[in-house]
Amino acid sequence: MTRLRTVPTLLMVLMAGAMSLAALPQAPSLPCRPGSVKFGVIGDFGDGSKGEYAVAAKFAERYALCAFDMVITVGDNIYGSERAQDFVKKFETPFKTLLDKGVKFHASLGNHDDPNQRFYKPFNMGEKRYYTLTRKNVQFFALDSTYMDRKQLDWLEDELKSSKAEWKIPYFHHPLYSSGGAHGSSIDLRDVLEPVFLRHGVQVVFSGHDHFYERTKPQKGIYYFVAGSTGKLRVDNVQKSALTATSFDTGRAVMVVEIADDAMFFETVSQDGKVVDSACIPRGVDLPVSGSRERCPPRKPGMPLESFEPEASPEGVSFELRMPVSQKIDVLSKSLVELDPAGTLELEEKKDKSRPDA
Amino acid sequence: MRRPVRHALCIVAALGTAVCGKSPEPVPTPTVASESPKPAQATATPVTRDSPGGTLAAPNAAFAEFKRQLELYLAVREKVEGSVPKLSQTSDPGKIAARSALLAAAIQAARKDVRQGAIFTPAVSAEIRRILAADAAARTPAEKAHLMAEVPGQPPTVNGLYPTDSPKGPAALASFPAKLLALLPELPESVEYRFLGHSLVLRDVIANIVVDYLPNVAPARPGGGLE
Repeated sequence: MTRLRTVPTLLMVLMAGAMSLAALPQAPSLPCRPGSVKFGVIGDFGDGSKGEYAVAAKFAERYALCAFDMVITVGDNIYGSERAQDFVKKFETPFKTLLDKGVKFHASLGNHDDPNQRFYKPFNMGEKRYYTLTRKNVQFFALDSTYMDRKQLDWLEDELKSSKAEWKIPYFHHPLYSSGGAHGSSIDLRDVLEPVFLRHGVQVVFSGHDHFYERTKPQKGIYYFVAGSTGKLRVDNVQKSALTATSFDTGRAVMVVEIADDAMFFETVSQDGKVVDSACIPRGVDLPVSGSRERCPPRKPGMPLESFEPEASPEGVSFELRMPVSQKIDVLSKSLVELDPAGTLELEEKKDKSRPDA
Repeated sequence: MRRPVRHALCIVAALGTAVCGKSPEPVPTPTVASESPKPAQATATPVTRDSPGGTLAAPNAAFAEFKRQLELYLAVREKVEGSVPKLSQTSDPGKIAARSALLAAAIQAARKDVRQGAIFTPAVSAEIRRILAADAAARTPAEKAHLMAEVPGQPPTVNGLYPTDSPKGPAALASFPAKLLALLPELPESVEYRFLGHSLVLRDVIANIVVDYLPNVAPARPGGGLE
């Protein structure tokens, strides 16, 4: 009788253990180096929905794994009415954990935002509709894409021109490139902004507006991210094309980014805590290395894709792919062929065999 | 032909008379009795469509008049702004909304007799319409529909609030096309162009009121808003 009672109890304990293991956050794919610039990216979030709260909780989990000290928002910070209680419900409560830790949010304005949000202190906009901030070798440019007048364009041109930063990162609401069925690429804005970005060595741009996650293949050498599903979500809205490197439109998502010298690592995390995209973008090389934990390839500006080869670090080059094989092929496309000519898709902890210590 | 080039040629052709030395139109008298006129200063801006900072709002009497009327509005605004608390960064969004509402009420009271056309005078309207028509002519129907997708459908009223609630979704302040902005005369920081219904409106940025509007110039039907 005692034995009969013990078996179900044991089973329950095992099941509970399995469930708690499943609930553990996936290990970070960022190197999380001391002294690097780490920041989160959220967009189209302020609707106060259960979804927003769920993904904000996962965001806090990622913070616990690898702390970042700031978050940039790509607009649509507060949907609907903008009463004091709306700011509490749609921003302060879901992101309370991070706010309490001292994480600074630096907002940009979307089409659902009252430009007077620039006076809201927790958005750290310095009372400006567009502004810039610098963290070590990274300079951010928060733009107001709902009203890109000549004054703002001239300001951007001047700021980019005088910037000494190695990484120049504009962020704003309307995507210059997007595969969204609802909105898609903002062509009018692209015609005005893209030449400025190209003139001044911009390599990475973050936007929102379309309610999903998308990373484009480099467009004229620039990586465009659409991170517009932190609250709102438009399921199955990505119309995949030659533009899309990878996308995620079946759940909400946030991004965490780490810039360490010449490498930008990032991970995109879904509302159930899964890493749906992670890669490393080396500065000056238009090729992402998916899932690199250790380091990006060294900077080799202008290097053609065909001759690209990662240089092994003393520890060897390490790759970890976290997606279903079908998705990996889609995501990595040419880069995987270049990096793994033998065709072994599972590159987990691959060592550099040419090195005696590997 | 590449789209930007085609766009530029269309606009230059459509604006030929406006930019090629046509004699200036007569300057109409100000329509707001309470706002006294000041001398206008025309700005000499190059007439190129695609170069950054370029504009088709070539210096002429109409735009000098436009600037003068805007200065009259700013003078009224500045006067009433002194009667409401100063706005600076705060963690209390209630204070921001309250200040915006106070400023709106003060401006509305000071301009209660102002009617449509106070700033978009007939001469100014003619020039702005010409620019808008030229810009629209250079866009495909799909592009025009895309630009108007977020725009609320209701017609504006002078001194009325710009609607921030859309029947199709939560509040939206429709984006304004960047390339069209490059063509229109520049505005002071506290006023901006937006579309509303089928009209082009001048919106006070802080008070969220319609300062004036130009009817029936939108490039397509307003879409009513998207999330």
